[in-house]
Amino acid sequence: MIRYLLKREQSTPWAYLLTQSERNKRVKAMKLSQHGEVEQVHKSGINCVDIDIREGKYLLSSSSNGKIAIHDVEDCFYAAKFQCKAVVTVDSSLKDSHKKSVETVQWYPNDTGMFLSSSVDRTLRVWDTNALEVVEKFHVEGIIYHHQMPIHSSKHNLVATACEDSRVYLCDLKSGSAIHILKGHSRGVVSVAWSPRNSYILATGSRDNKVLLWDVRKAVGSILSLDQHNGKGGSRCSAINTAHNGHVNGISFAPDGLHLLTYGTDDRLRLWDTFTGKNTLVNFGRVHNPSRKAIKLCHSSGTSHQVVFVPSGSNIEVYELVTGKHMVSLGGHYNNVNCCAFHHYFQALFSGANDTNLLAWLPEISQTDNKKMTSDIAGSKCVRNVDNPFEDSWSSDEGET
Amino acid sequence: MAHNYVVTAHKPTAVNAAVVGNFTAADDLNLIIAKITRLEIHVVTPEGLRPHLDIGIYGRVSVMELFRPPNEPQDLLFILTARYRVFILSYKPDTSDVVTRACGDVQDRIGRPSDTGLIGIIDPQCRMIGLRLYDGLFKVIPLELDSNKELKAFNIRLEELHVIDIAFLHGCQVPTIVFIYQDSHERHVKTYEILMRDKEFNKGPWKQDNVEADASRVIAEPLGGALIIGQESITYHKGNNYHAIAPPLLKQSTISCYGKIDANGSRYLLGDMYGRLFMLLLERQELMDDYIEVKDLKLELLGETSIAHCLTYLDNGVVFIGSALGDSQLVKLNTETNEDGSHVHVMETFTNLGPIVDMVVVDLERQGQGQLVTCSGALKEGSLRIIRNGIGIHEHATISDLVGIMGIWPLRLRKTLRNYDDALLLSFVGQSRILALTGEEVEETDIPGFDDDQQTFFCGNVTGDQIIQVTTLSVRLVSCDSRQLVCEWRHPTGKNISVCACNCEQLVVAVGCELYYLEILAGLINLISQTTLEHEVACLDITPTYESIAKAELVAVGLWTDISVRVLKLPSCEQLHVEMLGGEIIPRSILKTCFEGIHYLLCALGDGTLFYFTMDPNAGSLAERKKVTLGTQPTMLRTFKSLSTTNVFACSDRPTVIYSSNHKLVFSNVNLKEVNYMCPLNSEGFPDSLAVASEGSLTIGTIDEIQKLHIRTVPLGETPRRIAYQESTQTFGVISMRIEVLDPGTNTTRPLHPSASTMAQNITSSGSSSLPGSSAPSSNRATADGITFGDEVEKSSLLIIDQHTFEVTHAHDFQDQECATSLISCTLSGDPNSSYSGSSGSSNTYYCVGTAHVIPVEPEPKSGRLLLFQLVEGKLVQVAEKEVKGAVYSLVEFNGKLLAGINSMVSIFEWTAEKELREECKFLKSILALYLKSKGDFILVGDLMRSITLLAYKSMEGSLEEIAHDYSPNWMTAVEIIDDDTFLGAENSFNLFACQKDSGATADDDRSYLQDAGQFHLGEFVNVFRHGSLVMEHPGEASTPFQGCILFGTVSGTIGIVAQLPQELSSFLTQVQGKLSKIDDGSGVKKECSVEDLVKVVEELTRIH
Repeated sequence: MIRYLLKREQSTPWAYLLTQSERNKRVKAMKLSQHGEVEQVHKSGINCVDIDIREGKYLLSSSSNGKIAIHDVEDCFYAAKFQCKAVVTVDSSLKDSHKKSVETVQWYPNDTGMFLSSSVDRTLRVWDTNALEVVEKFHVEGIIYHHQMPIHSSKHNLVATACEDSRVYLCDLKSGSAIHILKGHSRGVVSVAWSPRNSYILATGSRDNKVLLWDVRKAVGSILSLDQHNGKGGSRCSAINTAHNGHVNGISFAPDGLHLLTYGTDDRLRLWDTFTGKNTLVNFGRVHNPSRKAIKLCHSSGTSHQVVFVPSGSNIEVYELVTGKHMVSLGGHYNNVNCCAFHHYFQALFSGANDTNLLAWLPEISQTDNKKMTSDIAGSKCVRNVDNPFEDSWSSDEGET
Repeated sequence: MAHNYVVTAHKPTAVNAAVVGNFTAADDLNLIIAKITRLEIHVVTPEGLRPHLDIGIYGRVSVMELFRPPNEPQDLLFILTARYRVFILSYKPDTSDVVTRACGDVQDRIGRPSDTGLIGIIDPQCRMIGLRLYDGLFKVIPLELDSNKELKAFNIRLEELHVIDIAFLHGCQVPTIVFIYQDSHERHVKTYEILMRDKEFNKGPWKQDNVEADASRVIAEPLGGALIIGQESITYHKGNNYHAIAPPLLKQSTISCYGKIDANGSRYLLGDMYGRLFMLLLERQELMDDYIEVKDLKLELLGETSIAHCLTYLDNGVVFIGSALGDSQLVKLNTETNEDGSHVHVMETFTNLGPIVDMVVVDLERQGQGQLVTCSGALKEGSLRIIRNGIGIHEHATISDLVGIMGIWPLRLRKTLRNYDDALLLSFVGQSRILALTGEEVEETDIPGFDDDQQTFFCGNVTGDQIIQVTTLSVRLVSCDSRQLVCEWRHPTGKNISVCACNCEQLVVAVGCELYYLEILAGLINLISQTTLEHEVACLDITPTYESIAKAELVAVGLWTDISVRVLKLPSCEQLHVEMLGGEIIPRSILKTCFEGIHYLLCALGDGTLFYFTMDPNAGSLAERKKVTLGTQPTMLRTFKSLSTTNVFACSDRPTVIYSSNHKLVFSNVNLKEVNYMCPLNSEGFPDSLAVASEGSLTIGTIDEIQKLHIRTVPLGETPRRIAYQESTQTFGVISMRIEVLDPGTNTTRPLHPSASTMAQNITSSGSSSLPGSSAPSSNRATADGITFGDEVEKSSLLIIDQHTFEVTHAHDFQDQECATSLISCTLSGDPNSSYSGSSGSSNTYYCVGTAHVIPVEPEPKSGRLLLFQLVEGKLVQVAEKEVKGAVYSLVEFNGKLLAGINSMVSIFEWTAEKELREECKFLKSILALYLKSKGDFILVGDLMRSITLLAYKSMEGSLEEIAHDYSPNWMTAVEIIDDDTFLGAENSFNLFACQKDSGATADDDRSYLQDAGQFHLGEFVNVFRHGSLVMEHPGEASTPFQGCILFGTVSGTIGIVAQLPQELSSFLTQVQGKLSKIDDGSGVKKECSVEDLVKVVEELTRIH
């Protein structure tokens, strides 16, 4: 660090290298927050979290009883002791609220004036954050497991929704219609992701073990079905390319758009080259994936090594994206983790799990007050163990982190 | 609301690219130098470099290449900026103008910028430009200049993510790239053909796996091969043809740049991080069918230069060494070695202030004029630079061994057509000497009519071809032709003359209280009138009021005893005006002068103070009395003309030129140390010059037209990091760092080359590391990492430098693996030494140094020290030491205590009676508290990545409390407090921003936010802010419309100013700026303003830098 600072004073390229390496260091040093917590408002499993990318101030979360909450998380970076208060909660008392599990919530990419939620109740709703009203509602033919609106798109406002009925509905926020439907999967679609590089390219993962790439401008079906064997899988399965040997319930493009990461219930992560559509055959090892629902992975950004955070059972596994190297395992939840979101300004991670907890993971680099910190950890461990006596992997995980 | 004006006082000087080619015309050889945001186009002539154009670029130049597409008469210039803008410039000889041929934006919305920076290469056959901007992508700009004004690029996926360097191969049918890339373990070289139509790569002609692990450069060679430069070896590769050399010379440092000598690529220049210059020779052999191939490689050390950032071979063995860490050079390569065994002869040096790592604003002579002392350069180019604003005298001739000159006057002994002066009279105590000037020759001569054995009070040509000499005894009139005495006037009772003043026709002589008015005629001196004043006369002036009228109607007199200035009317000697100056210092020089049509009376006192008045030329009344301090010694005022305007030269220990601009007097420093006397000189050999007498010598030189920055260099030979000034001991403290080479046999280190810390008069050290176990792991690591001979270790030291001589009087080495990170000079309250001495003003001053123990395996330093040193009789004594838990990034003196930023903490330390530093309180919420500034009880913290925080010290509770925070995620590089409510920051994307505290806000929440008050994209990386100004500040006169002035220094050597403007002026200037950008006729600007007013405002603004 000190060397980087010295170099930075003398030569400007080091400014970039310093930020990269510092962020990397912080990502590696991530631990369960020890000086505070996120206010727990959810009473059931948390399905999705999202941080607004402009300010990095508001955390959006949704849970399986239809509740949506917004927390102000700024305090966890600025206060020595913090409690991130929920500034907004949407529950069944509100007339516009979802009455069933909200599977996905997402901020409108440009500001926090609007957010989107999709639910088991077969609707995708567009909310006005300030008025807390639904301003647009899309009905589709099945449970919406996942939706995404492109983050960098200036060309269109299509929200891709992964629907139980094997179809992908493209809901156009401009016209308010969901008439564009992508057909190609044979079973329910669980996960969708827009390419950050080309805003017309969409990747979808389904229970038919396939990952399809679509160009939404083209009327024909998918442009490519990703093949885990790169065409060398033998004659038996040459007719149908599969990406995984299980449901594909997690899908995510790397921030630079060069790679696509898919996550299957076959306990595998696969990394694909988005230019060629080829499996890069990077070995991530076995990643326990017990969930049937969509799992929301997230990536670090601006770090010298690209890092991906993968919810796996009650842990979050952290991998180097390009090499597949396992970096660390973040343990703290007592039940399956469904989602995580990365805070790209200050390198923090927020995760939600079926244990109803919303946890903040912060870089803990400071070596001051070591004694106090360890006592804090001991204290929290004690309490949590009482909370959940069946969680046995806890202490060993803590040791690793 | 804060209104800040940002302006550059010194343009960037660090060279980041240089190219040579035929840009301005097909037969012109041009050197084009990029200095971050500026382009300098030079023409290479047999006499040297001739500057041709200097262009500002709205961006930071990252890549610059010249290329010549077919059908183009001359070269085109391709530039890529740091923000991914590309453009191609060409030169129009008919309008002498640089025009943009094409431009474009090659930024991707997403993508990971590569660690190895931006690379731009041009196909040798000019078919395309290749860019490596982001990891995993290669961008291609097809070159179709005729059809398209917009440069459009497309991406090709490059599977190799970590490309180290890339080049286009020569002589390929299809454009082919060669590149070094790194996978998880090794580096490899690969080639690809670029298929333009498919926008894809095709497998290239060859590849080479597992090249040297530190291969860093690939150079395409005109025969179609490639040179791969590594840390230890150089390899030539062309498919089957393969040669490698690993000369031991190479190992010591890393090759950082190269330049091609011959167009056919048989010789290359290589430069390394030590500043060594090599020549690489590619020996060739001719095979059958005229097929030439490379036979062998030879590397030869040519010599040492500045540490090169780019090497450009111009012509005839002349090379431009562009440096970012030191001065750039123009060197000549000789075939023969000189006495040092070097082939390099430095022809010219170009000053570079960058990187300015730290600086102090000091006023060494305490005259209100700031000087900047910067820590500039790095490694062997490290230096201190003393930067002063002022007028420069360019010395043309110096005559030494002339001690005790009391006065000098120019004389015209012979009549010449142009009225050239041809002699100088020098006055000494008890004698006078005449120097005749013939061309540039000077020799002593003798004039019979002169009295050589007396001190001359005045001498000069007067009416009727005569010369007058006033000595202690008499007034002598000498004929120019005969050189004999024609008339002499003595005091009636033979008393000695004490002062006199003279013009062409008139003379006033004072003898004690008596004043005699004489008129000069041909061969005659007439006493016209006489008067007796109340007190003795101290000084006199009889300069004619109007230039056109030879006779003066007023005489100005300064008196002893009552310290007054009087204006008398001539010829009656009737007193018109009396002005009491007050005080006890007598006036030593008085002068009437006229600047821009306004008449002034200037009166300088014996202590360097200057009073000035406006004077009514007829009534002789004085008004608008003002006072400035010019020096500390008796000051002598003399007029001289420069470019037909009148200027006044104030000779003292701090020579100053006084002139008028916009009807305001401007006092500008001269780059001379001390001047006793001066006179204008206009001789054949030295036209429009000044003769300046200083201690022991006489200098003849010409003067700058305008004031500018003058830079003096004090080389250190090692990297300076922090500087502090201690007024009480008249010293500078400098933290520096040098590289030592580890000898594995004895585990000791030795310096790489002599530098300031190893050659100081006294050297002490903190001894070896006291850190438990730190030395043992280091040796273990040494073997584990396979450390070989020549490993480098960094050593920090504290240098004490005398403020007058800039000699290093003391060097203190810190421990091994201890890195000094901060330094201040401070006085601490509660000092046991100050308590018995009674007054608080006499407490000791200390140098306080903060350090960090740097252990490579630790991501963050876990420990460091605070050290307190005192300079006792020139010896540096360590007074106290305190272990702290981290690196001391920043130190500030804080109300008699010490404020330190230690890793994530901001702590206050007290100095106790037991001579201990005790931590009083701390604030923990930063990530890294890198920068600290304080004002009163307020503390501004600049964080590594979380912008700025304002803290307040609660003295009652003895605690630090957060007041407000800026919530933007800014990676800070420097901070400063503008005033109680406004704060200035610089961040690592080359921006400045200002924040404001909203004390009036009602909600608690709003108060804790620092509001955004202004942003400015500077395009430069600011390392340091300091309050201060480079121009003289006069308490009496607000000549510049500013409330405060902050200087900043950048990595590229820029010195800039942030000044606060009144709101009215700021909004007016903003309007002017807006209108100018539209090139409007100026109508619609709200404030009524004539062109003159505007020019005046602009001139005033330029005066601050």
